[in-house]
Amino acid sequence: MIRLRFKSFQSRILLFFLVLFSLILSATYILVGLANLSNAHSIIEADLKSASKIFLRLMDVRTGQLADSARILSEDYAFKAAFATGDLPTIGSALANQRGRIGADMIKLVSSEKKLIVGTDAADVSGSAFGYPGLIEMAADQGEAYALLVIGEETYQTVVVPLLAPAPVAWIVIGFKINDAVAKDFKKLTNMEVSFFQEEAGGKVGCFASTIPMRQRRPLLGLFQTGWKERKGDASELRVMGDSYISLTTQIGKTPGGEAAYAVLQRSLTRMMEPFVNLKKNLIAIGLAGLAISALAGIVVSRSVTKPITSLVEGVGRVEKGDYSTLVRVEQGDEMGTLATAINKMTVELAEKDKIRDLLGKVVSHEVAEELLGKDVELGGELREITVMFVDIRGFSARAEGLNPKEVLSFLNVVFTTLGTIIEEKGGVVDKYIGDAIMALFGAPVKHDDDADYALIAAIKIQEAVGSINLDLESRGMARMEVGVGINTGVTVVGNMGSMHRMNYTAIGDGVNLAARLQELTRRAIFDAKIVVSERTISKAKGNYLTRDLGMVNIRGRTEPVRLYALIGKSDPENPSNPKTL
Amino acid sequence: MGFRVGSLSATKASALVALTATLALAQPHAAFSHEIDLLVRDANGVPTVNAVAYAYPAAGDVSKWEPKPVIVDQIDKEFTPSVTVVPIGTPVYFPNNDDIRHHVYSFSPAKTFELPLYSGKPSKPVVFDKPGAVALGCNIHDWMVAYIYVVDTPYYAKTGKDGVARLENLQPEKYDVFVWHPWMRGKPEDYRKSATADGNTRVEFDVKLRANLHIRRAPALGGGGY
Ligand SMILES: [Cu+2]
Repeated sequence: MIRLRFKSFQSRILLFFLVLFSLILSATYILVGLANLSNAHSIIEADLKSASKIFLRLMDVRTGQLADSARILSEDYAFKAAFATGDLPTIGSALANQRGRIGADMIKLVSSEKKLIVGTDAADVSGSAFGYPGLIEMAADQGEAYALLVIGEETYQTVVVPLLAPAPVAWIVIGFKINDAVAKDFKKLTNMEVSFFQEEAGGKVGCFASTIPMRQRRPLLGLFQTGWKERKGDASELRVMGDSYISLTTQIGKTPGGEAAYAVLQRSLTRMMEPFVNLKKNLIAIGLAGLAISALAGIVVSRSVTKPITSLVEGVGRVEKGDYSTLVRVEQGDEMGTLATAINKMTVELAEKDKIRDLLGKVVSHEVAEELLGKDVELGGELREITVMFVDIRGFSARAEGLNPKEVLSFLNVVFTTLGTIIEEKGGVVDKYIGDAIMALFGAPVKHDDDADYALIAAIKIQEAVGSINLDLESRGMARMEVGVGINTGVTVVGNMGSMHRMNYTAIGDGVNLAARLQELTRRAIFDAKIVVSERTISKAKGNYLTRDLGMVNIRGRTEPVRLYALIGKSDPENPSNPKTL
Repeated sequence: MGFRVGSLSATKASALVALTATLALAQPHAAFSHEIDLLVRDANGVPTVNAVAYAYPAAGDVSKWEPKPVIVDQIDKEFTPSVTVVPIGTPVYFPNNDDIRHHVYSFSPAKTFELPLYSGKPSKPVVFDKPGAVALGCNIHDWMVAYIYVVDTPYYAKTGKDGVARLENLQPEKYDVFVWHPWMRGKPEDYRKSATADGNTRVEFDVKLRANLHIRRAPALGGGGY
């Protein structure tokens, strides 16, 4: 039980250490995590912004290169000569040749009347109306025009320049595809995912090229929901297939119809956070190691505290049970050591005191011993009215002659123990044994209101006990014994008497002497009384007793006669006519 | 081949016109010298230089004319003048006054020709025998551009820096007046106006011009400017 409680004390210390450490660790973990996340966010956002600038710049450069090539083509004399023939197959093959030179994906020749002269696409029909007359008009006004053209399934970044002979005679429409390959190239350069979206009729937006797999493109369309135009240019977080992405939407161009196309650049936040996952693992490992170390440290520290406490508690527990034999062993120089030394000293002193008390209890009565131990022992007494009882075992000397001394002492001890027990049960104190007599005090050292009654009842009980002993003796064929009891109540001196080195707690005075004389009177046949009580005791007693008046009797050593009574028994208060007699 | 045939028929036409003109001179027409002034401005109200103006009598045929040779020079790698208006049948010489060669060409339907790299004055002129705009280029100098606008009327003129062109030698009657400019949006017919040459006639034309789409002159090798 005690061990368990200290175990819990120990575990409380341990728990404190562990909780403290865990708190610090968790706080560190969370703070590092948050810092990393926000850092990753801002790095990605900055990267996305510069990548979007790079993308626009690349588009510009590529468009510029295309325009340069187109301008050279517009001045190409051989091409002009081919055009001047008016022979469509010739013009078409010259155009295909030029497309190969320039590295364009698409090239068409459109007349000033906005009719397609010839084109390199299989779907191109000579003489048909060109789909974007406004674009030609714009080029005629400005010299050049740029636009995104959606032709079939493909989206082209397109440049329109005049064919100068040397005045504009036709329009060269030339473009490169924005497709998965472009996205892939860009990803190689910037390590960003890039997807291209095109506004369509009815406010819809469709993805036409991307670096990401087809099935992951759909969630991206979520970026183009209500209010996205206002958010355009701001990075936003997007979850695709369980991974987090930061996305940035940038407009890359418009069709002649005003429908814009956008590049959505993406970088995986999850991948960006991967190094932190390792850091996390390390943090957890460090944390667990730290936890283990603090657990060990906690155990060691709590042991160093609780171990001496445990042994102190055990030691005190032994002392509490009266075992003074084993001292506490605490070999520490700190407060614990001091406490252990103090407890040991106390144990030794308690052991000595207990030994003394034990011995004292045997030599003197329990009450006297308590009185002696409880106060400072000093010589001197006080005047107090007490009731003194003398009990004499009669006919003992005759019995002693037939027995060996050991048997005599054994018998006497049995009788004394029986009678002493009765006296103590009734609140009396065996003051001393005088040969085969007992001197007992009622009212000293501890005073009770009913001391006289106790003495009388004790006397009755003693006679009853003697009756029992006699029955036993008779059954064994041995002679009966008689016991005479004298009781007197009077003022005596009570206290410690003797020298400073050796003293007795006792009572002395006339009251004591008279009690001794009354006991002697029980021997007289004329009285025929086994218990002789002085008038003072009877008057002090509160109970009703059956007595026989012995009249005024002259006592040896006293000038005045004393009225005496023979105590017969205690009257039954329920039925006084039927007295309980001895 | 086709162009040569066309050229031949144009010569015939020009001979016919010359005959008609001779007949007209024989008619009892008073040789009045009436004029129509034109002011050509762009959309911003800026006077337009080098705009071609020409007129047809509202009733009746044009009078005949005697084509005179015209020179379009090449000086310091530019055509001079940059716009020339000529009536049908006019022979044009393209003398090269530079110490390098030029390669003058035209792919315009009104007159397609080519004077491969040459220096000095070619012995033969190029005769412009069809009406319409002819854009002249030089195969080795992309920026070299000039226009010859061929009209089938003797009444023509070109605006100066003040944007004003004067049609002279007109009869005191009603004319349909047209303008043309190399950068002009639309056709001359879109800018047709009527005017009567009765002394002090002035017609204003507001033309819409496109940007000059021609190639800018490249710096000479060695960085010596033009
Ligand atoms: Cu030249």
